[in-house]
Amino acid sequence: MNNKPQASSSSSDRRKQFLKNIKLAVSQVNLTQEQERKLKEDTETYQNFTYQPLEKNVEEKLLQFKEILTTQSAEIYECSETKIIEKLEEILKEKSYGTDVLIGKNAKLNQLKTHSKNQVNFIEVESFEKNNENYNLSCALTTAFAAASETGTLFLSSGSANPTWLNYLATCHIVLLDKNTLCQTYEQAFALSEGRSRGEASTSQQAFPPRSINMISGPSRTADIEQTLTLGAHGPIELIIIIYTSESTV
Amino acid sequence: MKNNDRVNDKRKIMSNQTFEKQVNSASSNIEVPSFKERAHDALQDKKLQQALSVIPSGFVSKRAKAKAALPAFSDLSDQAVRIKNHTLANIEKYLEQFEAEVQNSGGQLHFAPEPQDALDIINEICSKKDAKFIAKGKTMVGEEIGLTHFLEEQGYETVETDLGEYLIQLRGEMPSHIIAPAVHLTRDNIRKDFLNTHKHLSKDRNLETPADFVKEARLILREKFINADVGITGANFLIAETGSSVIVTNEGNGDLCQSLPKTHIVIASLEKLVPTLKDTSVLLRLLARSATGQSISTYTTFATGPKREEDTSGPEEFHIVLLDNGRSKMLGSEFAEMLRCIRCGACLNHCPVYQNLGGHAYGTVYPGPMGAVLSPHYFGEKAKDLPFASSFCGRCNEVCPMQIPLTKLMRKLREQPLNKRPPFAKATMFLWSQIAKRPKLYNFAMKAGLPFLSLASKQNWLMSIVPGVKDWQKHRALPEMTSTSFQTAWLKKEMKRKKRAQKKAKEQNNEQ
Repeated sequence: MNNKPQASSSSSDRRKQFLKNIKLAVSQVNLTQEQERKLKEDTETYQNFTYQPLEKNVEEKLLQFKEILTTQSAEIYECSETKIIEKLEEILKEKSYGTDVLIGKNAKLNQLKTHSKNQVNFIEVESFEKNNENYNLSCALTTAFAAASETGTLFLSSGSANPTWLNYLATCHIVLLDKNTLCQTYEQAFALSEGRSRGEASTSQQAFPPRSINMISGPSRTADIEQTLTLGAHGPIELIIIIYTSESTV
Repeated sequence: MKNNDRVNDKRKIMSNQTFEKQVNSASSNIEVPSFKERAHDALQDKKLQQALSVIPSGFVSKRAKAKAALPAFSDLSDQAVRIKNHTLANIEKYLEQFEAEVQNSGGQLHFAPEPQDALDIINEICSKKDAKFIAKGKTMVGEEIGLTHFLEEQGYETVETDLGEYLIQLRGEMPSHIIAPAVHLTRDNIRKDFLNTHKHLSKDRNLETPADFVKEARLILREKFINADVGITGANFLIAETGSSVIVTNEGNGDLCQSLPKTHIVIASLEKLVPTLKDTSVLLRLLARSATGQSISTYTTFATGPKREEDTSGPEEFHIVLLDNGRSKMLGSEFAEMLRCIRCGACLNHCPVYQNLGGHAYGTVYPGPMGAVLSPHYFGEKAKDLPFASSFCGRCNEVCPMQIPLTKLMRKLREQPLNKRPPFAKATMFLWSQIAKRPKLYNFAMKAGLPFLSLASKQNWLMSIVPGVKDWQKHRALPEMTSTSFQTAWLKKEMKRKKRAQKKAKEQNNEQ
């Protein structure tokens, strides 16, 4: 069944061989009339499909989002945009995480901070360095560009304001979410990024898609030890979400 | 002792590559045990049976709940089938688009017709980067081509970072489940391995609760992530319109593998292609629910190209290695439907054969019903008996979110010349078919044989004098049988009824 040809050596040879095999396979596809008809029909209906669950209003979405994320072991707080730093301090204090919080090059956060006299200490990080001690820090804060209530999922995109590794290395990951960007479905959330009208505190309007889009739906977990759910496998043990209502409501 | 040897043999057939090396080198007389032999061992293995006992209450019931909670599940499943059928029917177009988009975003796409090609390509990238440490996310395609073993042989320090994969790497085993590689292990197994491997930690440390083990693995593996020069991940989907690769994890290990090291390599097979981001959303809704019964896995990550110029972090190089290894042949064959598989593992979890034997009995990295169809295509001769590892109960067909007719495909494989039945079985089937075609002969044979079967169902030893049923009888008892056939009994009753009717008619006639 599997007679293996000799491995070819150069990359263009391999490409040629690969595409030749595909071409050959396609020419060998032998559909019955019935299958042919079905495939044609499928191709037509395939384009028309949109996932449309019963539409929810803002409060319903928020309720669903909070409910699902809570069952997925995340914690959710709400506040107004101006109170973000205060809220943050409150959370850090309650959990005795100290005052240090790792952030990316996030102009907005720094701006918010100057307006308050609180004791949160933002440590701005840039690239990841092997011998940097910072990765041992307990808290990191990043911002989500959107969320989807259907499964309690945050959408974050990479960029200098949100280095991807910040989402994964700290013990406690704190995410800021603008209530206006809370969508119902994945498709709607992606559309927000594709549009990129909001440009969440980032300096440049990046082309879509960015290097990474991270959908996050709870703290890191594993069930690899006897099928028992355990939190904090490699990523954060805690996921905390601060949903804020911005002053400039759309 | 013999049992132990067999276990070792099992480890030796870790993957295609290692297996072939074993066989080619020194033309040793390692005999690969058949599925039957491995199944026998699995049933005797008490620890394994204990580990497997959690599958029905875990995966199976959780999936049922998750499916019930999403009313659109079957609509989404229909759409998912359309997506994959459409993609496969237009595979050349989407491959072309994917290649262009990967390059547009600054990445490189490498084509690997055969496993050795993929290994060579990855080795080349790693050696160019002067890599010493490699952090690997979970990839079944990687398992398929024996990637970790190969990289270790080439001298790279390679660490599996998915906890389940790490556990089996410590033991030199192959995964026993496509989404829960270490489902066959108990805490006792793992404790031993941790004590033997993490020798720098205190001997008296607590290794009792699952959390203890997870904490220790986190500590050990974190260092590996941080020092890795190259990160390798698999892909659950490849998106043609954006040139992205998508991974789905719960631990976040794949994300660290693809965000910390300076080079990110994705190893994936060609059937992972989907046309658009929108299509990916549809498939994502089915994947986690079918796999673990979660509504979504904790982390779903889209990677497109290397870091952008304005990014402060992220890999500088992004490579995707696209593997064929027999898939194009499937595409042009009657097994094309199998290429819809999204590797959720639902067919494993619901299979009574898998539930009782675990994955190692199948002898290849793809076990269960999906493996019974795939493995003969990828690994040829040594997986030829896997299509027989099914009772054809059909639960796999029912739970498959991609609606793959698994039993139909297994049946087709059984018919292939590779699977010649032994002459005795063939002769018996021939004889039976000859008798069954002749009703009179059949009835006569039944009449003659039934009294014996009826007696044998009460006196089991009697069966041992019938040739050819010894193996069958080892694990089964005859159901209790009557000494007359249904047909005979029915005829008798019918005669009585007729007689009565006649009698009645006579009486009525008389009355008139």
